[in-house]
Amino acid sequence: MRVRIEGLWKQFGGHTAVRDVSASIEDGEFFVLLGPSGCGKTTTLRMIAGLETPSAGRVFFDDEDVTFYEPRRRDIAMVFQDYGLYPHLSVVDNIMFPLRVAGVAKAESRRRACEVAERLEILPLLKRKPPQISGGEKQRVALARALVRNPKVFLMDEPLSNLDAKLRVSMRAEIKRLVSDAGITTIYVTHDQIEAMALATRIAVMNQGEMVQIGNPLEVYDRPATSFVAGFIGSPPMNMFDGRLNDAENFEVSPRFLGEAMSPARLRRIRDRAPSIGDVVVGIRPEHLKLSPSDQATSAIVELVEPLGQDTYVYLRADDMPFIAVTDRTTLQVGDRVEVSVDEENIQIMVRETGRNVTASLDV
Amino acid sequence: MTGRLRPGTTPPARSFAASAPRGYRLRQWLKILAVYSAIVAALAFFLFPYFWMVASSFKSPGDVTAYPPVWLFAPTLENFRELIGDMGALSALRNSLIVVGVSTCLALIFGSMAAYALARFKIKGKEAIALEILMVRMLPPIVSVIPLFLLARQFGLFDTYWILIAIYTLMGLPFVVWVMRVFIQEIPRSVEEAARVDGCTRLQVLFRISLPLMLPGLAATVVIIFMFAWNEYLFATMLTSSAAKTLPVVAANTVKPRGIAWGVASAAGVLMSVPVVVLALMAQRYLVRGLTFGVVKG
Repeated sequence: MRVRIEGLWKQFGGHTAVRDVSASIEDGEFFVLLGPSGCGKTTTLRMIAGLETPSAGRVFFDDEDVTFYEPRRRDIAMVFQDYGLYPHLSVVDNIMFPLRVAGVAKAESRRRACEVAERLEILPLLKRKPPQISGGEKQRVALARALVRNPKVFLMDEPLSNLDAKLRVSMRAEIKRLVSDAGITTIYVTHDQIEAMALATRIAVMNQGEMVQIGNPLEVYDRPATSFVAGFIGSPPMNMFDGRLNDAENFEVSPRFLGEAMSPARLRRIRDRAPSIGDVVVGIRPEHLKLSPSDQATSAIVELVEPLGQDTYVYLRADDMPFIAVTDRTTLQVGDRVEVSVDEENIQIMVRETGRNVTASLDV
Repeated sequence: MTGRLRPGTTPPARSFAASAPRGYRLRQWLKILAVYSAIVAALAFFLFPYFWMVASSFKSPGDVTAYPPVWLFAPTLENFRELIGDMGALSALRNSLIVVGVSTCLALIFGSMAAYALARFKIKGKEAIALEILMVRMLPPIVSVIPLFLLARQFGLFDTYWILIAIYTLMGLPFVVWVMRVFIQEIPRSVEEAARVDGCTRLQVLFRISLPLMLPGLAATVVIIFMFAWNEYLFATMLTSSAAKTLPVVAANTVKPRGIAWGVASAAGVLMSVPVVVLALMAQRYLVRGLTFGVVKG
């Protein structure tokens, strides 16, 4: 089913939690709402679920306006951050609950609950009660309860955030598999950008109640719409430096290698798109920095090396500006001097005042 | 270290205690013995007076006051006959059951609803309201008994069930509100929200999810406010004369100017304690769960 939200606002007292958010989520899509805590992503999800009433705006399921429907009339399933299992019911009764409420016969409910439980490998737990099972098991039960009913829309509110790191990765893959098998439209809230990248067909990045960018994961990664998105997505985060772009021949940024990498032709195109540009933020992803040994006094100096196995994080300083580069295994050592080079299309230039990324649309 | 283990000689079936040093085993036994002795002592301390009361209620006037106390005696129902026949204890028992039963139910219904609102909804001055409710409880009854007496006379409520039911409900209410508020706050919101998403109406959420989870709290609260009202004497004696007289008033009448009728007083004690004991036994399962409520959390 298609989910469409139009101009959603939510105010709590004087505080605006969600500010004019619109999105159209296609049938069968895995749509992730991503943002730091307090950005309004959970409130948006709760308005789609019907657990909060919007202060303004509309929610549509297909073409039906469901804005003021009670949750039970929306035919949705939701997985909560703390799972929301019914502590007084056994696991099997928890899974059967939505079916029993919908009036499905006991035997049939039980059969379907067992089917889902088998798929999620929780058959041995069926007789136990939620307080007696582990966090990962609760997570599976919550998923089973959501899956058992074949809802029109799946809503998940940070379902993995209470699990340990290892379990989170395996459950992430499992959720993706289960949901794509079921082919149900899913809206998933998380503050973990890696989780978002791994799961989403499209990501909506939210900040301070507003939706900043919607796009597929690589789009959002490669062409962040604003400096907030650029800084939020990616680990380690994008290196950002203050600079000034007066005209095509006059681009100042420290460290200097960034300014030298930009060709006048490209700078002219940027000027054409944003004539009034002045103060800018210049961003470059750590993996886009290429390091080669050098002995010149003006080049960058290695301050710290973190060999992480697959990648190596190299902390550098050039023109008195610290930054980080991600490389393959390296023999670089603290105190080594290196030459840093970048390709101009990897340099993001954002207006300092508004955060708008003026390079995002250059290479499309 | 006589019982020290040799490597490779411990069959897995053998318990740790059996293979442990003898001194250790002895200490374990002594520990268990000490625990049981303490339990027996405590039980004797609390149960002996009750036993003595039950025994006295079946004694003749001579046996009750005998010194040294008699342990073996010819049981008689004379005390109960006097209590029920001459003092009207049966109608007082009925009055007590009606007044206390109704007021407990009312306090529970209104108190739980108020507690739910105070725990869950966004209300301006929520804490002030909660404190206000508690203040009713803090007022010493003796302060309000005369005004209430005058009011009761004025409105024709003197010596009726209504005045006592109203007072006991009001006395129980703050307790219900404060205890249930904590119990309701302990139920994670997401549990109720999950039920709403899973297809429940608000009322279904209440009956299928919230109420069962509140049951331990409700049971504990029922027992306590029932006992408060059941034992209440001051209002009962001031605001009734005969028709609505409750058991505590009758029991107090066993203290007569010419002396205390110990046998009859004991019989009244037995009669009064029976409903409370029955209620406590019925709620016992939930009482234990009520004490360990934190474990229930999802």
